[in-house]
Amino acid sequence: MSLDRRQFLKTVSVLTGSAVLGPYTSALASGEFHGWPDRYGMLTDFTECVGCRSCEKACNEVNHLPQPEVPFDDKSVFDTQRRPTAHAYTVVNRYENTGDPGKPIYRKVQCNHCNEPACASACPIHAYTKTPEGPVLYNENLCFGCRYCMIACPFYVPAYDYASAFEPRIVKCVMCYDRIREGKIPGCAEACPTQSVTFGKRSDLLKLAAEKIAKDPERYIDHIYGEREAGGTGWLYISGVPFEQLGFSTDLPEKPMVEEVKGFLSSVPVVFTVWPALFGSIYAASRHHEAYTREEMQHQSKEGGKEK
Amino acid sequence: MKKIVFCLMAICLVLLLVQPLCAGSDSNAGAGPAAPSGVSAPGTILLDSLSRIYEPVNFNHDMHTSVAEHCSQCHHEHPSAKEVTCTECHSITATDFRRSAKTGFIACRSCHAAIDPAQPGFPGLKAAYHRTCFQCHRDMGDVGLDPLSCSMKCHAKKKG
Amino acid sequence: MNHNTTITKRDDFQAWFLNKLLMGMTWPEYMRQMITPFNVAAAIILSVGLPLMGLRYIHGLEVVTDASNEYPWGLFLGWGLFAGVPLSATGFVMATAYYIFGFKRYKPLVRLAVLAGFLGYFFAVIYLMTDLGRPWRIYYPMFVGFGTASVLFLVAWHVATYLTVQFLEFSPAILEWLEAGRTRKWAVMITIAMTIAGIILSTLHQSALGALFLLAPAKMHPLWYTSYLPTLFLASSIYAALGMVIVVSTLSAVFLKKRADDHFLGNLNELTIGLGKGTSIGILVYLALKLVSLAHGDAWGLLGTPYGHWYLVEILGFVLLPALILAVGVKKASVGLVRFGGFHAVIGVILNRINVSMVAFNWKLPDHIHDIIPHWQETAVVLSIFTLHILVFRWILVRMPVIYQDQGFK
Repeated sequence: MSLDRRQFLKTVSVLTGSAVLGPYTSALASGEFHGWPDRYGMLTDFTECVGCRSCEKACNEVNHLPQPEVPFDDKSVFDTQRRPTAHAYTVVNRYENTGDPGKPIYRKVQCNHCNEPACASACPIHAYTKTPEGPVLYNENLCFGCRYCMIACPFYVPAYDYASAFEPRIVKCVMCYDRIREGKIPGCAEACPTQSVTFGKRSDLLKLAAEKIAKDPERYIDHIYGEREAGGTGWLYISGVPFEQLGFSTDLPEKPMVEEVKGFLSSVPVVFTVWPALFGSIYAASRHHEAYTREEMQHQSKEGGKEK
Repeated sequence: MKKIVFCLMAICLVLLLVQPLCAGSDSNAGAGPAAPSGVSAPGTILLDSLSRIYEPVNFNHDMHTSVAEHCSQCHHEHPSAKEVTCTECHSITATDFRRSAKTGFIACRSCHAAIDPAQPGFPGLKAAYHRTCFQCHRDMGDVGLDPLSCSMKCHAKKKG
Repeated sequence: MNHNTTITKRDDFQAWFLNKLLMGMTWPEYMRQMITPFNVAAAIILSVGLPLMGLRYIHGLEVVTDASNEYPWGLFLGWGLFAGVPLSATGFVMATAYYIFGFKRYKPLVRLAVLAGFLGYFFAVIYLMTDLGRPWRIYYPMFVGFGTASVLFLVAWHVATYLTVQFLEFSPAILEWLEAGRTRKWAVMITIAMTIAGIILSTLHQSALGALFLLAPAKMHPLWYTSYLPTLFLASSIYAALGMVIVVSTLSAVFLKKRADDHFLGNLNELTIGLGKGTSIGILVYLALKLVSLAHGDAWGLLGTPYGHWYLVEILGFVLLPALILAVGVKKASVGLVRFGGFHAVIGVILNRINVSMVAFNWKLPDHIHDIIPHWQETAVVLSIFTLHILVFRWILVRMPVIYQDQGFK
């Protein structure tokens, strides 16, 4: 942990009363930001996925995660619904296909890399960053483990390492940020045999998804999940069955989660400025009243004595 | 004229003798549209782009020619073949087939290479192969039910 | 000479120690009077909970908490922070009433309220630190990283600042106990500034605790999720504080009667009625807000579901009912009834916070109700921290001038 001079000054200025207002106003101003234009994203096409778990395996390898207890070619994992854990950035779950019972549907679950991530707006220490490239990153060197990001994430993505005594941390997909920076594509997308997990510019992927749906309306339902959900996510999905059948939350607001608290945050400067004035004057008034009553009483008792 | 007829018959005879050798044991002649002559030139193809992880896939092209409805089912760059069966054009000699393939057919890998993030809709080689295979194999029940089927059906795991 | 002063100093310290810490008893006397049924029970609880808290530093958080990836927060925060903080609004509410609005008759209760508030916040931080993955980084939001768009950033700053404010507000009592008259003067001078700071900080962080859940609209049950959550949390914290003053003063008067003076005991009945009146009005304001939010959310249909029934139990049985009990108690001038109503109101606030932070959160997950029941380790640790809370509270009450007035500093 290094605390440089600038940061120190910032801290000091935050400590002084007037500057306390600053951060909140800047947080509010950020509301108009619609994301970096060239950011990357991913598109998962559930009609292409065959549940081979190559993505899970590749993810495990490129991110140097611990070997799982059950090998990657074991289908018994599909008997329960899994979620990303402290040891797995991504998992594939199996869902029954109501339209075609012989062909189960597989859903890959991982961080959705939201346009305006709820985890990032939850974090009191700014341990999360939405990078211009698209991935949402987490810095464990800043985290004190409050796990509010996990509360806030509408997709139940961040996992926590509850078994670690001294270095517990949040674990989640990083969209292979380092590989992207090296010009490679994320491990899961590279490993996917059918490119059901596709990597590209988010804007291109949106176009691709729309084209696929338009070209084959029999195959897809007319919805790109992630285009607008929770303010839009970096990871997009298209499917042949309604998303609620695949365990997706379909009641998410279309605005980013942080919008829900902006109203509250905007009241903060008001309280900081109005309250001292209001309660200060009430105090002054009540002091005056007190003094006045005391004087009056003294006066009256004097008058009573004098009998004017 | 007699000479020509004789020559053709001789070639046919040779082909009939040679055919089982290049098509391998899977050749179920008579089952598909390729039945009349059962001729197909590429025979067996070794798909080895993933040989880092798996043993190369032994792709029996002949067998697939015999079951495919038409070439464009796999060779989508060959739209003229959409209406006609493979054999209507290719029920000729291996040399002739090769000549026709040179002009009409392109190997998957000559277009489909590594995934290009700039063209997310364009399948890389791996996806090109798999999507082509899965058109039929998903419905045959040997894909999409068990991750193990990958290694059982096509990709023998590399030893060691 | 030098030798002599050392001896005197040591004697002085011994005298001070016996006088101040052992309250004039010798060690054997002190230890003997310590053996009471309550202390034995406390010792048993602590002997289970404290080792668990130590084991956490070997085997990680999973030893003490039932929290999981779906349920990152459990009883530590549901009880310790979300219920603990509104019940600790005592200091802010009573100091405002007394110093700012000039309700001078409540003087005998102000210090007790400030102490209850200070310790409540202090232990809320203890609960929080038990729950944090890396509690040694607790100062990070203040000095290392600034999540300025985060409601929790605000809570962290305000709770930390307010803890300091409350310590300063209570410091005259400590300084009187230590007989440090000159420093006490300084501490008293800043009272008004500290009280107004307390109002600002409390309004914001009490409501911020509610605002924390605004970030998870899709995970919360619609009956509890409303944009009014911050306002509701603030409104309920005010009556929670008044109810809590009734509770704490009652317990002090019953269990520490010997340590209280006439100034406290003599005025208590009348003040309790007054507090009861305030509490019942506070509850009715809250109830009105709650109904407005219900209408606003338009979730009437859900009242017929099991969650709706539970919601009705909360607002009828634990909001409306205590208000009525208090109103009747005030009308009949029955201190007993008002006290009962005060306890009831406080339990209602705890229930509300548990409902918001645990019952309503993740309600859609399968097996939800089963998953929010804490396991025994978590319960044991919560009980231990609560026991410590009571012990520290008692330790201060029997020593410092809180429910009695120091004659020298009257």
